[in-house]
Amino acid sequence: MPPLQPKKDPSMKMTKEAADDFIKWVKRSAQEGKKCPPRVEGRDLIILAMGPSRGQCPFDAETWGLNTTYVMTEEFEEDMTKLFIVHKQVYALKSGNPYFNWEHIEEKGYELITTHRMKGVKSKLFPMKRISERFPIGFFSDTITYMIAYALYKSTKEVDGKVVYTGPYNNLRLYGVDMQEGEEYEYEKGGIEYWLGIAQGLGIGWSVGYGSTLFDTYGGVPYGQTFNKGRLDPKGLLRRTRPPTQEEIDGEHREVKHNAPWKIIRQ
Amino acid sequence: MENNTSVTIAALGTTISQCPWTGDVWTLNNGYKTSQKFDKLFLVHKPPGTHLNWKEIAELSETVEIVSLHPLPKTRTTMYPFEKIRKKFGTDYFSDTICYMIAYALYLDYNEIRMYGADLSEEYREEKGGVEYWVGYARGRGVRVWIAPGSTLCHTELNRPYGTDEYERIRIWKEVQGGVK
Repeated sequence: MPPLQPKKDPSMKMTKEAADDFIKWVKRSAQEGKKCPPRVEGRDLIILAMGPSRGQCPFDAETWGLNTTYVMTEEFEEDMTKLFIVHKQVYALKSGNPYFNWEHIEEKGYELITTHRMKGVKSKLFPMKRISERFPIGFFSDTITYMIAYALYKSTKEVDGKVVYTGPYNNLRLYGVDMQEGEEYEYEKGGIEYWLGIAQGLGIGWSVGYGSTLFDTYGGVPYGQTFNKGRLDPKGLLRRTRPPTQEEIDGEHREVKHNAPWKIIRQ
Repeated sequence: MENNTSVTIAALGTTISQCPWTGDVWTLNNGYKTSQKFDKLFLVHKPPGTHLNWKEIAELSETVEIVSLHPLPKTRTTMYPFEKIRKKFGTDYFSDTICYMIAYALYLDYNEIRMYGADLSEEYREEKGGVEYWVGYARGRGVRVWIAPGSTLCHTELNRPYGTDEYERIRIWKEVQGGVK
């Protein structure tokens, strides 16, 4: 069977025709019992939030931000394509100043994605219904879950009742998603881990910035491993009197390589 | 390869009352005392943990398969293949015994997981995220995961999608009541 050759596109975005051809090819491959069809090519996506690890963001891939991350990217003179805001206008407690500058957001040309329609604000509505159809449990515990879900929605198709990866995003890199504060983020952390779990199950890779509490257990080690040892500081953080070395940072880095089961051979 | 098998994870929360006790049933910790039927008992703790009766468990191991993370004295156990699972799935994020059970079901290629009693209510909120990660991972791999209604798993704190009008209304109301910081 000749390999599928999607139209060449420097942005790697798959055209509708190429996606349809690809789905037909996936079905044919499945019917013929091919176990290891080649893999879809893809590209990285940076998901940028407001935690301290945002400082590690190299802005070397398409970047999506949330809330007021646009202030930071503008200060850094970096680019951001999409901005996710799932709140209506928020006002500062003391000054009463509005938090979001809708006019500025529109002027800068960010694609604003919201969950509400707001009068006078130009935005694209988050496709909740379509996403919930593809991923039936709509478990959205904070704005980042909406961003991951949107990236997964854009990168998958449904083929014979199964969701398969079709590109373009095969690696989600999260910066500033640290969930370090107790209470509020403790409730929200699981939602992000849930959606990254789905990504991983689909073969889409992910990584989180150094210092994030995502994928960390309460005790810092897998549950049950130190139940009787009473180790309070398994990573030696309390004994550390200097900044972490690069080796320590690499050792702490949590990352899953993408391993999507289908690939289009590009020629 | 299609493997039409289903496993029931019977944990200790209140939604266990909905469990039909049919097919493969796995339980954990003291679940052997309350389960009507089970095929495997999962343990990730080791003696001298006080909340488990190790003598009783040792006796139980003569008749039931006990899957344990640690070798247990005088107890016949199947060792949990921690390293193999870590290598296969590329993660060691296990925040709760239920995480180990879901990972084991994926490792054994079950294509449906039914969860009862895995409620992860308030006192388990530090452990909830890990279970949700494994549920998500299973779903991403195409495994059907069914969670008993009433569990807090895959639900937000206020049981509505974050940021929606309804969520905000409940949040503000609870804030006024002093319930949400």
